[in-house]
Amino acid sequence: MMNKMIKKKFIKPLKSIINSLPIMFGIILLLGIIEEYVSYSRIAKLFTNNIIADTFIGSAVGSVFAGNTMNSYIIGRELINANVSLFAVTAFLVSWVTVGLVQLPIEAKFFGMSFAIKRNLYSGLLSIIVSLITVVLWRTL
Amino acid sequence: MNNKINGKNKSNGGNKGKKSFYFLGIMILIYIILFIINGERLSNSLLYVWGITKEILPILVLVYAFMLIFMFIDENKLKSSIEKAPRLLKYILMSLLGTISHGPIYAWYPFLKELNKKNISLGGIGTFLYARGIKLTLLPMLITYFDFKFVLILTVVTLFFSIVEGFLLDSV
Repeated sequence: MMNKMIKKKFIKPLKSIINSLPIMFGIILLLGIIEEYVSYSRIAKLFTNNIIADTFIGSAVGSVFAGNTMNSYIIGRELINANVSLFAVTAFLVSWVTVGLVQLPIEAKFFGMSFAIKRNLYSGLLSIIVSLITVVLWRTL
Repeated sequence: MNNKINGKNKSNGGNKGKKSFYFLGIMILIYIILFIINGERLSNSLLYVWGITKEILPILVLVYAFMLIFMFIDENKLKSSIEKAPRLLKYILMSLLGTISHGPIYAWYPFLKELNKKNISLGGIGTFLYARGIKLTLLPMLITYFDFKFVLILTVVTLFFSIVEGFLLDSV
C-alpha cells in the first residue's frame, strides 16, 4: 500500500511532463521556423522616429517575436545603432522575454485561455511602463 | 454526481490532449511542405530545433525534481502555510523563484501548474513568469551591449513590476 503510494508520487509528475511534450515540441518547431524565415534586419524598418509610437511598436514587435534572448540583445543593439529610441528598444527587450504570443497555446492549455490572454496583455502594457521608468531613471540618476 | 464531474474532466482532458497532438501534427505538416519547397533552408530550422531540444531536456529533469519535492511535502500543511502568508510575501517569493529559474518558459508550466494546485494563485504564477524576464546568466552580455547602470535599473524595475503583474492578475 505504502509502496504503491510512493510509486504514484514518482509517476504523477512524470505523467504531467510527458502530457505536455507534444505541444512543447510543437512550439519548438514553430520557433525553428520563425528563427530561419523571419528576417530580423527588417525589424528596424518598422519604427517611425516618433518616440511614443515607437515605444508601442517596440512592445508589439517584442511580443510577437520569440526565441533566444541573446538574439533580442543583438537586435536591440542594432536598433540603437539605427537611431531607434531607447524607449522603444527597452520596450522591445522587455516584451521579448515577458510576453509570449508564440507560447500562448501551451500557456492556455495549462492555465486557461482567459489567464493566458490577460497575462500577455498586462505584460505587454507593463513593458511600456517599465521602458518609460527605466529610461527616465537612467537619464536622471 | 462526483462520477459525472470526474467523467467530464476526463473527457475535457482527452480533448486537450488531442488538441496538443493536432498542433504538433500541423507543425510537422508545415515542415514537410517547407522541406518540399526548400529542404536546405529547412535544415537550419531543424538545427535550431535540435539545439533547443538539447537545452530543454536537462531543464525537464530539473522541473521533475522540483515537482517530486513538492509531491513529498504535506499538501495540507503547505496549503495552510500559503494561505496564512501575506500576499506580498507570496509574490516576492514567486518573483525570486522566477528570477533564478532558467531555460525555456514552457518547460516550467507543469511545475507551475502543480504550485497552482497547491494554492499559489494565478497572480503568483504571473509574477513568476514576468520575473523570468530577468536573465541572470545573460546579465554580463546585456551589460556589454548596453551599460551597467541601465541594466541595473532595468533589472530592479522589472523585478518590481513582476509583483505588480501578480497583483493585477489576482485583482482585476
